[in-house]
Amino acid sequence: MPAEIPFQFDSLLTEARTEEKAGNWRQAAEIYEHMGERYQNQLWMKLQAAGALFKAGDFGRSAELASWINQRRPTVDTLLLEARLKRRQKDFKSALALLKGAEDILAGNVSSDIKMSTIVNKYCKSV
Amino acid sequence: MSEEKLSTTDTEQDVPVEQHNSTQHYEVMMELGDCLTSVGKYDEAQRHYEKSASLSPDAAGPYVGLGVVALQKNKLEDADIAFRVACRLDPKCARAYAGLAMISQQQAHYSQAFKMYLKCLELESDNLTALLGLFQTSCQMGSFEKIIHYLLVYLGMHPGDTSVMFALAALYMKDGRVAESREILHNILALEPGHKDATNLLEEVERGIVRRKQAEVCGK
Repeated sequence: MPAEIPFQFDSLLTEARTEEKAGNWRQAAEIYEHMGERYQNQLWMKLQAAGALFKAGDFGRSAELASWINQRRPTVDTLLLEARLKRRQKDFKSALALLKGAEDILAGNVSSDIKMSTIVNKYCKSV
Repeated sequence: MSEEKLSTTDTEQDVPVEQHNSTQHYEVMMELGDCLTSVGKYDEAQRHYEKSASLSPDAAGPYVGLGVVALQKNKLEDADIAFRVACRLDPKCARAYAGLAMISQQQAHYSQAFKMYLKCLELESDNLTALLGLFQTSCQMGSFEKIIHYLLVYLGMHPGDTSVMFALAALYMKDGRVAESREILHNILALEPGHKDATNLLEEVERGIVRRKQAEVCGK
């Protein structure tokens, strides 16, 4: 029933955070991904899942999710996360472009609505 | 080396917005500093570490970064000051002790370097920089007592690391423990059949074993 949905969502969110607190990052990520698919709040849930997967050491999937978010609505957290993953792969040029994008958001020069391609195009030339 | 922090899940839940923004700003500055250091842009990296230090004055990380930059520029005194500040801010900062050890090693103060590498490994037993530094310092001092233990601890966590396996094989050989040395060298060659140093050392070990057996026969 539709009225139950908020409670189901809250219950799952609590479950995911409990898993995180217990250090079960992979399980937490699975719950977040499931919530994203089921409750249509993919940006938030994918961000949570990407963070949990990073801590679980699943850098490949974490990078996929961070990149997915940054293509749509980059935030400082997701840009920082993707930059860390790029640095881990020794792709310093992309990491620096992402970090400059994060720096601009923090400085208020760029709205987080701007697409990632704009940020990367803007900075790749200067790196 | 150090545990990487991630702000996405942690900060959103409990931390006030202003503090979250400040933490984010600090983390972005630190990450920029680290990336710029990796690509050799030391002056820019230094500026970002200085900014990080102003955003989070009690954090050791920016001073470690400044120490690394100074070390790369061969400004040993500046590096020494930066690493000492990092140690004072965080007495458990393994990277700062590794930095101090590298400075001592460069100044040929091997005993001090050895102590600092040990201190680093006590805090972070899989710190590869410290482990290899300790190995080099041991070779420079001619003393191998403690290093074998740390190499074994590291290999317990990273069993396929052939560079550390090779160092251990070399130490076993110097210590006269040829059977253990030979076993490790065989393991290295199973993992990396083209490992030339391991092939050469294995030949040397095998010759040593033959010589020893001949000597035993002659003795009888």
